[in-house]
Formats: sequence, structure tokens, C-alpha cells
Amino acid sequence: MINSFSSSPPSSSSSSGSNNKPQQASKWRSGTQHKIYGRRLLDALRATGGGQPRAVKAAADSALALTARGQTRWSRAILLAGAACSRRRVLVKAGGKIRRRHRRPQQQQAMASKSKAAGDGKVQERLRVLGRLVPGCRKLTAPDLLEEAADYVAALQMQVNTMRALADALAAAQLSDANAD
Amino acid sequence: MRHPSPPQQELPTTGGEIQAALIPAGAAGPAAPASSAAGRGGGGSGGSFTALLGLPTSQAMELLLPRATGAPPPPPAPASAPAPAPAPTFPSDPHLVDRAARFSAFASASPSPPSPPPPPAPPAGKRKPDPADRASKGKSAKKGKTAEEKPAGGDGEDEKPAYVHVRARRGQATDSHSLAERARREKINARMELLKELVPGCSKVSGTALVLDEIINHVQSLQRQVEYLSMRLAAVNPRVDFGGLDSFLTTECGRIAGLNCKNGIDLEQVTWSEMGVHGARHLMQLQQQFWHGDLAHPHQAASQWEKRVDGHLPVFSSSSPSLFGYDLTSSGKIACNSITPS
Repeated sequence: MINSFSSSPPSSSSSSGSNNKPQQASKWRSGTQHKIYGRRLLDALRATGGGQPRAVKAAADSALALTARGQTRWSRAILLAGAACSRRRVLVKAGGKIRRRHRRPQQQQAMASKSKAAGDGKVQERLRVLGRLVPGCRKLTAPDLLEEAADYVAALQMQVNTMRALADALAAAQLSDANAD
Repeated sequence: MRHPSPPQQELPTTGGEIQAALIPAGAAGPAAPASSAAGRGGGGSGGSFTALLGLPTSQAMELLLPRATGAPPPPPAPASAPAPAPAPTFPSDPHLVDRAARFSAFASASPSPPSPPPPPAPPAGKRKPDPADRASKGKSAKKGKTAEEKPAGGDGEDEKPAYVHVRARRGQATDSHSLAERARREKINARMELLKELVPGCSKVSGTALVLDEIINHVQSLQRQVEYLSMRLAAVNPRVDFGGLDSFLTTECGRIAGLNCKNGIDLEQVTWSEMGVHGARHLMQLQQQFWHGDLAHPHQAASQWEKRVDGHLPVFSSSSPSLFGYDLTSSGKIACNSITPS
């Protein structure tokens, strides 16, 4: 995992305003991410006190955002929402702000002329809906939003696979325990 | 992301046309380039226009404007001025620098055009026309526009290109607004391609709105699945003791567990944000603080851990470099103290 970090330092992750994409969404398909997230998820679940679906979902989402290492907007938004402690929030925001500063001049100009391409009307409306679905991406321009959405979809897919495997394994273990008794 | 290169036949003819344009210019024949330029400039949106894009700016302007007299002397002098300017943008790519040097070479030193152009023409056919774009982007109006678009070029890393290079395609308008728009649209289209690959069933749908519909549906279905699975996990949770999950997880369970208790999550967030800001040194200091705080109970938790999970302790040495990039073997063992026994 250190490879992904060293190859995409914060200064280059802020340059997603240019045409090169520093973080590929395909990293979510790798087996190591699967394992890392699996373990995080397991312990987050252990920390939740019992069978509340809401808590389980929150734990799963936070674990997913953690695995994203805060390099994407949606992961930072999830972590911010979950972090009650003010110290944590400041640090997460600081991590986000350093990157955001580079984007802002470009974003202002892009937002001013946002309705230019991609055919206004239907497409814009759908982009808005997408922005509401992806956490923390409501006021994003089209290319940034699409990039965030790509990473989010890949991450969600990994989350679903991991959770399904975990639930099946747990259910199977339970069944075998019940039969053995 | 690079744009797809135009058809390869364009470049050799470009080189040929440039050569043809410059040899008369160098030989002090102003009438010849002027008339041919008039003929070429007349077909402005034709293929020959892209040939002009291959020239350095002043050369192209000279050819376009119907200046009959004094054409040859000015081109070499101002040509040398923009020539160094494009050079810094792609220093990392030796081929491009080479080509750029060659372009400026026969632009400024007209006496020796025959030798450089033939070599660039065949290899140029294989390379993307980035120096050509660079020359076309040298126009000040465009530079202002694209510099606005790409302020992230001032990242502190000098080797990054400061602006996007867009090739004006055949038959398309080339004023700065539409070029910037086209660059933006291509960015958006590139991202859409990525998304289409991710979302199953989008390849046959055409049209941005429908594809976005599919993407939205997919995201919603994934989120619903997450909710459903979290309900399942919540139902299963209370009765399982997480003991027999070796089949599900392979290794590294212990250290990640140690990191993911309450303090661990704190450290994790601090970790990557700090790494983003300060670098590995502070990270080590933070790590030290965290680990030392947990030296209070080295033995009890370790024994509990070993009782519960078999064979995980030996893997600390292999797993630690993967997360933080430096040796955590000793601190990894201490980390398991912070596991809250459930």
C-alpha cells in the first residue's frame, strides 16, 4: 500500500485539474485492498456494540473511507461526518485543505462557466443527482464529480463484495456451530 | 491524459510543407512563400491549416499575413524567441525535446533546413504532435486562457506542463474559447469512459444522459446492497465470537486490529493527513507517542490475543512495511495491547 502513497503525493493529487488522473479507480479491485478493508471492517464491527444495522453501516462506511486514505473527496466527507472529535476533524480538514487550495482558482472559473458543455438540462440534472448520491460532492464540477463517482463506484463494489463474503462466512460458521451443538 | 493522435499521414506532409515553406523563405524569396501562404491561408479550415500549426508561431503568422517584403529577415529572429519557451515544458521526454529542438533549429537557421527535416518526418509520424501543439499554444490569447485553466501547474514541481495541449482538429474552429471548451469536453468524456467501464451494461447505451442514468441506478443499487448487508451482519453479529474467521481473513489481522481500536482510528487519520503535510518524520514521532502510551499492559493482552488467534504474531514483520513503509516489527507487537477484549 505504500506504493500507492508514494506514487501519488498530495501535490499531484491536487493536479487532477489537469488531464492526468493520479489515482486510478482500479486500485479498488486489487486483492490487497480487499484484505485490508476486510480486516478493518471486522474490527469496526467488533467495536460496534451489537446488532444495529445503522451502526454497522456507519462502521462499514467509515472503514471504507479509511481504506481510501483520504485521497478522495467522498472519503474525506465520510470521515468528517463520522469524526465527532474536534481534533480529528481539524486534522482531516487540514489534509483536505492542502489539496483544495490548488484547485480553487480553476474551480471558480469552471463553475462560472459550468453550463457550457455536456448539453444543459437533462445532463445537468443528472449530474446534480449524482452529486447528491456521492457523499461530499454536491457542488462539484463535471470532471471532478465524474472522477469522484468513478472511485466511489469502485469502492462501493469492493465494500459490497467484502460485506457479502463476511456475512456468508459468519452465517456458515454460525450454522456449523449450531449443528455441532 | 494525451489526446488520440491524428492520422499519421498528416505529419510527414506537414514536415514536407514546412520544408517547402521555409526553403524559399530562407533563400530570400518572399514572393514564393507569400503566394503559397495566400493559397494556404485561403483554405483556412482545410488540412493545410494544421500544417501551419506545426510551425512556430511567428513563422505561421508570417505565412498567413500577406507580407510581401521583408518576410525572411524577421522570421528567424522572433522564431528564436518562442523557441526556448516551449522547451521547458517537456524536459522529461527526450524525443519531444529532440523534436522541439529540431523545429526551432530549422526555423531559426534556415540555411540548413534539408538535414533536420527528413529525420523528424518519419519518426514524427509515430509520435504525437505535441511540439506542434506547443507552438500553436504559444499564442498569447490561448496561453492566458489555458494558464487560467491549469493553475495547478504551479505545484512546486517544475517539470509538470503548465497547460493542456489541444490539437485543433481538421475543420474545427480554433478560437481560444472553443478550444478551451473542447479541452474541457474531452476531459469530461474521458471520465465518462472510465465510468462506463466501471458500471456494467453501459457500453451499449449511447448518450451522456442515459449513461448517467445507468450510473445513478448502479450507485443507488450498490448503496441499497450495503444497507441490506449491514442488516444481515447486524443480525448475525451478537451470536458470533469472531473466533473462527481464519478462513475469511488470511494474515495481518493483529496489527490492523490494534490500529483500529478507538485510538487507532485517531492515529490512522492523523497518519495520512500528517503524511500529506509533514512527511514521514512526524509520522514516526506520532507513532512513538502512541505506542509508548500502551506499554502499560504488555503481557495480559498479548496472552489474550494469542489465545484467540493462532499464528498471527509471526506475520508482523512482513505486514508492517506494507502500511507505513518503515520497520514496525517491535511496535507492531506492542500494538496488540490496545485491543479491547470483546
